[in-house]
Amino acid sequence: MKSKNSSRLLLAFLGATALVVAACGSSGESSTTETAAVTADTAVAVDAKPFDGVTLTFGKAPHGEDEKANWEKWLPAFTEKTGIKVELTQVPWDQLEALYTASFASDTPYDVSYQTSTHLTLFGERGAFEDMTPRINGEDFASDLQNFPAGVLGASTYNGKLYGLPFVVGTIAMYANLDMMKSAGVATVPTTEEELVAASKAIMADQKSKGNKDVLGFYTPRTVADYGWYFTLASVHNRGGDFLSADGKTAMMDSKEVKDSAQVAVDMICKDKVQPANGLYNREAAIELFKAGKLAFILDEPSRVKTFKEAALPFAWDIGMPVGYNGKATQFATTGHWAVAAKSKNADAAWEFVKWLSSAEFNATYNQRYAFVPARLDADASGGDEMLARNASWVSVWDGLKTSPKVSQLLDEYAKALEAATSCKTSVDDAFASAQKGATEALAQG
Amino acid sequence: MSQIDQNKVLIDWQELSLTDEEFRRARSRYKLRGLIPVMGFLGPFLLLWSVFLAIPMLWSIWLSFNTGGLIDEAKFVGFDNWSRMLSNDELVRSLKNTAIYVVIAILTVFSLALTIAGLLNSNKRGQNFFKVALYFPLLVPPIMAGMIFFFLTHYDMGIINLVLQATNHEKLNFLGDNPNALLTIVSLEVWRGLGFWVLFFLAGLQSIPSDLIDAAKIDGAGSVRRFRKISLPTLRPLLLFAVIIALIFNFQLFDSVQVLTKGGPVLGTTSVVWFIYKRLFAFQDIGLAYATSVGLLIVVVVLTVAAYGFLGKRSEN
Amino acid sequence: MAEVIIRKLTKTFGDNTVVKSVSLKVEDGEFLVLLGPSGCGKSTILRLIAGLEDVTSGEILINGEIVNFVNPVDRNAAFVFQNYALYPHMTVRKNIAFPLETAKLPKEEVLKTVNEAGRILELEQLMDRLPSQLSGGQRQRVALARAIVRKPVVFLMDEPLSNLDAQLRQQTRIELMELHQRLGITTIYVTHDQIEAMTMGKRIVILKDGELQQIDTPTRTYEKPANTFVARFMGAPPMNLIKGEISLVSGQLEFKGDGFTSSLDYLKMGLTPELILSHKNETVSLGVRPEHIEISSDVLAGELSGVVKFLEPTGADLFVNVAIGEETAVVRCQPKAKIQIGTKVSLKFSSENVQLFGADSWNINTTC
Repeated sequence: MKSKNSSRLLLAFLGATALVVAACGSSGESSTTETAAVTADTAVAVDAKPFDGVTLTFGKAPHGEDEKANWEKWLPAFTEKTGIKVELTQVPWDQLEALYTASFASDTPYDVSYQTSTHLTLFGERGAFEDMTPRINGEDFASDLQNFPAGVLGASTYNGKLYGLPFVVGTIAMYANLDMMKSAGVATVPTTEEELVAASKAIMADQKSKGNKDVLGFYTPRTVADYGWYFTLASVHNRGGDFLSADGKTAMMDSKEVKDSAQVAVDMICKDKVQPANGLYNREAAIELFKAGKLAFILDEPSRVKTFKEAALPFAWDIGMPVGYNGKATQFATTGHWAVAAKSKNADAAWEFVKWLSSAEFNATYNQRYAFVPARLDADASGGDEMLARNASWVSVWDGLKTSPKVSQLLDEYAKALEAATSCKTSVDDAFASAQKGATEALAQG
Repeated sequence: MSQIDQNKVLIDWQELSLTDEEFRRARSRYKLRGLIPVMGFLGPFLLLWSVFLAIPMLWSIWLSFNTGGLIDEAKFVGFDNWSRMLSNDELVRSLKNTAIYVVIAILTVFSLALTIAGLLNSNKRGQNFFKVALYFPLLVPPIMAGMIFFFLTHYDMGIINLVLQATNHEKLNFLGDNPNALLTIVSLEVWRGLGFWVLFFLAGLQSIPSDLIDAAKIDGAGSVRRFRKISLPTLRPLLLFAVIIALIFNFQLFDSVQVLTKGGPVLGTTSVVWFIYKRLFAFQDIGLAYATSVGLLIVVVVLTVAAYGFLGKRSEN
Repeated sequence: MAEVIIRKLTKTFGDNTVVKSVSLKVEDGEFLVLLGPSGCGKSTILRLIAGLEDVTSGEILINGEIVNFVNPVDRNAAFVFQNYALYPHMTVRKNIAFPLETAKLPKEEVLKTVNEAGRILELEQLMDRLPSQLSGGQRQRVALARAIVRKPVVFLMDEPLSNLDAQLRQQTRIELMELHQRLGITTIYVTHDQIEAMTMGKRIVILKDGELQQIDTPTRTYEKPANTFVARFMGAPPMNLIKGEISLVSGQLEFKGDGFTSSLDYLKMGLTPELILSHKNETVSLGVRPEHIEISSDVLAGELSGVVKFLEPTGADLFVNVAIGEETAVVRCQPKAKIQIGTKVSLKFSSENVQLFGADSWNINTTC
């Protein structure tokens, strides 16, 4: 009797994953969509507002705790202009993939959703999103399209299909403690890997001589948990390499460029010891170290500019580009897109919403708050801040992640190898040979 | 009336008035009437059970022989997922981690919980305080638990490292090193689960007739011998249940991995369910995820049967 | 073999005093019964002697040694529990061997002792069974076997027969007595069953609300109860108690009740004029057993009389309930006596069968 009960319990647990999908898929959307569609038909007569009365569902992972409140301020303008109502669902980042899977597996997915490069084709190639290419080439978008850099659009296009309109591109800034630099006689923010190591060493020695034994030179995440790949791949690009061939068919995890750049990261932790061992400080803990004046250089997103300024750090600091290699310094990050669900019953209304979201005006509004770089050149989000303006200018050397359906899995392989190598217990060669094997298997699979 | 007539009257009165057929029908109607309320209660459960358990379960098995099937259409691939699963290095590592975790976690939490429950049971004073104190971790909201964890394990400011430093020991890298990370997760889960198991075993210990314990006292058994020879064997059926529940729960190790380590460092804390979660959602490798789910089910069922065989046999009598 | 002495033993649980300054002495080899209604503290006294409870105040001596602060096992007392307390996961053999194995005796000795105990209690065929496979009587014998293997100096038995059915109880009672005769171990036996107490005890200790009522032989507790509680508790139906006042009139004890007066010979009752005079002017109770009353339909004025209310035939006897004013008396008659409900009857008894209880409920005859 007991064993029967417990195996039934077991079924419950295993069925749970499937359950989440089933349960989420059936909930959320109400019948308002249906009635709204009818209203929309009758409203066609009114020229200015062809989608009056339509309700769109909108899924978005938040860039800040105040985002929901902000949307409540921003969305009424769109509703007033078009008559389209928007129902926002905030999708938490840590459940993002599960909840998106549930949504796109259902018959009532989010009409419009925010998708990063790692998810755009992951879901898009499985039929979740409509291809936007015809829409962006339409007359109504011609004047906007010219403001999108070709490189940005190119990174988001896969097999000639664009599953979402680029909204923001990420950048990475190197934050530097100018007081510490000055004290150690380091004149300028380092721009090469060698300079960074030397400056870090000089600062640590200088601080040690002043009795501050626990000051560290440099930090950037190298672990899977803290998205090490996000902060490391620029250095691969700087060397002219990548983890995947240009045609997206061959893994290049064991290429010289990948391994050389990883070796630099490894040496900083294991040989030069200017960066603390993995796991001692996670990303947030390291930010706290920088704010406390115990860390000279740290790589992070430009959104920290605002928080650092608000916190009025007790020392002089600045941002700079992450260091380059052999005279070449690129920006690596991912792109955020607006995607329209393939199964949306109000695709045209959704496109209206996407156009509004990606307008220069809204882009500036959004990014004055969240400090990403707008994906279009005519949106100024710096709000007059010199540092943020400098950050925005880095879009000219932007060489971000090229989307592809397997990119999440490939990045996982890369990140695991990077973490293994920077643990100082596995050689770069072994770590990336294993990544090459995993990536090749992943690419070979259907 | 003669004596014989009287007997005849008596025999008439003894004659059955229902035919066999009538009796049979009335009897089954009577039985059915008793079943109606039972079905009334069981029906909704059976419905929920099939909708939420049986059907997803069968669906999972079906998907383990397909590729896709959630967002896109399922495509039958035979045993492809299963062979990929068996040759996946990360899964092998995950299974190893999970097994180590399960063994250490169950052994630790059970021995601690049994000891504490035993001590609490023999000492009534302050029992309620300890019950609440031990149960506390289960009631703490995750965000507070995270803070408590942070204050314990932070490299520079955590209490443990401060103590280690003060006593001239090397500071511990709790989550960045192996096997520390897995052991840290074990400690966290033990901390979270301890209260539950203490209460569980305490309830068990308190259900042991006090006469048995008194008899053992008279027979000269000290507290340790009483616990080992009387309390534990009496708890055996409960222990079997506990082991099976704990096996099932602990094989689901996921939360701490997702929140604390994302499987790192260097795959030191990848668990089977974390592996499944990544494949299912982040990689959309639906087939491999479901094949692994079903595989995990088989492993846990086998272990459950083994546990039952090992612990259950003696209590059968 | 041992003598057990209890001095001013008191036990409190919180605010509740369950044993109140009880003193008694159990002779070496004696079979002493603690008797009383449930909640009278008799089991607690047993558990205090065994060391299962901590004594609040007072002393317990076994063989002249104070054992208050001696571990249960070292008191050398064996305890037989009401529900036997057999270890359910151990076979009969293991159960009996447990105290010996705990004492770390050599294997051969354990085996020998266990077999011997099994033989004494006729358990040879059952040695490999589990307690759940035994009948109530068999479990009882296993519990006894487990108790005797340690060669205790005192047997403490807590209502050991109460879980058995009537027939088995009588049979086991005899077996227990035989075992006691054979082993001669000092035994303290707790029961709430007065028949068991009367048949088994050499002496009976009667308790009520944690207080001693009477320690005496079964016959004395029946014939000369120390107070009205004992008078009512011992015997079924209990002793009749009739309220009235006493005085000395022309060398006779005169008992004046509601509408009747009885003259009694106080010498035959073991009383003195001083005792009688000291209880003048208070309401006393006249106690007389049902079998010591004779009823007749000839009723004289001023005699104790009443009306037959109902009859209880039990086969061997006929108990006649007689209403005397507000009170009721029960009279034992021959089963074939011709008595009709509603008739007026007189009740007669002789002085040597009468007990008098003072207003404080205690027997006026202080030698009781």
